[in-house]
Amino acid sequence: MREEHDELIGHIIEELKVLPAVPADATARVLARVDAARRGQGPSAVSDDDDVIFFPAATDEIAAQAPSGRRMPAAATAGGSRDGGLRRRFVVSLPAAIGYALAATLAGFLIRGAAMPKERTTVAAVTPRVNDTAVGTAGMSVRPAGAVVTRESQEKPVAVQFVLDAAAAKSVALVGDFNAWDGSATPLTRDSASGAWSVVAHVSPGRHVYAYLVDGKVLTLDPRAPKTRDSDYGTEQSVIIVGLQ
Amino acid sequence: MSAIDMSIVQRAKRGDRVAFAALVDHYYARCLRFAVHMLGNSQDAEEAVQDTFVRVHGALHRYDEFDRFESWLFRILANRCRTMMGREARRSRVLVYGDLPHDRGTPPDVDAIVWREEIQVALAALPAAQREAFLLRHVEGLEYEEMGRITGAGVSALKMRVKRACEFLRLRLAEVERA
Repeated sequence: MREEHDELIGHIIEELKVLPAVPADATARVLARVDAARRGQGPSAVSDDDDVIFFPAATDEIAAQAPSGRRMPAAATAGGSRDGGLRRRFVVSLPAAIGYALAATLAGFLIRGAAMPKERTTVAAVTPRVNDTAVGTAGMSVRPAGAVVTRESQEKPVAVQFVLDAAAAKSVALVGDFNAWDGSATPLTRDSASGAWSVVAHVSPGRHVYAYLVDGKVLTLDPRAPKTRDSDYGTEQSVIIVGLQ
Repeated sequence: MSAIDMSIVQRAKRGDRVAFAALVDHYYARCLRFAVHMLGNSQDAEEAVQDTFVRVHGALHRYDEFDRFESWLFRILANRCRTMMGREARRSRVLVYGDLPHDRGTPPDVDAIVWREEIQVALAALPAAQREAFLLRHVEGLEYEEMGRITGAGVSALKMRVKRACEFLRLRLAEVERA
């Protein structure tokens, strides 16, 4: 089905459809880079470091796309205007933040006990911050942000447990720079007792940014994790620092 | 442009270099068109497209054949463009005449050049999310469901972005066309 558009828009589209000239060596250059990447030569290999998150939806777009009665609670929806949406969601009181951290710890340990009995696991999102003040993280295996381990590190990936409370969600997936923001790569499973969604992912040591993809379309930050503003669009992302084993 | 024969994709997935080259040949111009319109200059667009195909090659083994290959390709390309836009934003966004697609074999038609430039300027002034949605829908001819898989946005949100983009372009370019 095509929408109706007027003659002017038709002319614009017609102009934009003109294909650009392709350099004669374009395919050869791609193949050369593929070969170089296969050999692991730095300049031609592509890094995932600079991947960015989806464009945040405007507030009215979110309202339009969520059918009434099935909408995620405001606190769990991604996007929104920068001041009225994401930022508002993460203004939490200090006691609440500590409560979140403790709940995350408890849920993490309970689920980890069943899923990962023999492997050391780092619980994600354990350093919630309120107004840039770190909240206590007793017992957590997380390095401070100042001690970031570079991604060039050849250390083995670390098992990290990610937990999200989203009882109304039908599906939750973990997306981040460690899985190329692939919404199908790392689905979370729901714990029927607690209602929490969780997954254990193997993440290389270093600083990573991530978010949760709820119901396949709504990006949600981790309320228990510190967040950073993406330098490209100002989009907020959750941050985890994975320490060395 | 017709969709590529899926047997070529399957051969490329199995490591057939000739098939992968055919796949690049088939989609390069379209990818470059999208990237030029998203980024506003051919140098960054070339880089984004090259990166995209290198990534496609690296991830082909994970490609789910139940998906449309085109959607998957544009998802990767759109991501690369967003990344490149971050770099572009740190420089001034100046359109260069040579960046605009045109038939270099014919004498320049000044009106046509002005019209093209005005379209590019208006397009560049659109919010990136609206520009992306407009191009995917009206230039690449994708369905909203496919656009949703590419952009991560819902269908209603995408329709709104396209509608707003049309309104903005109409407002900006009506005077130019009348002139």
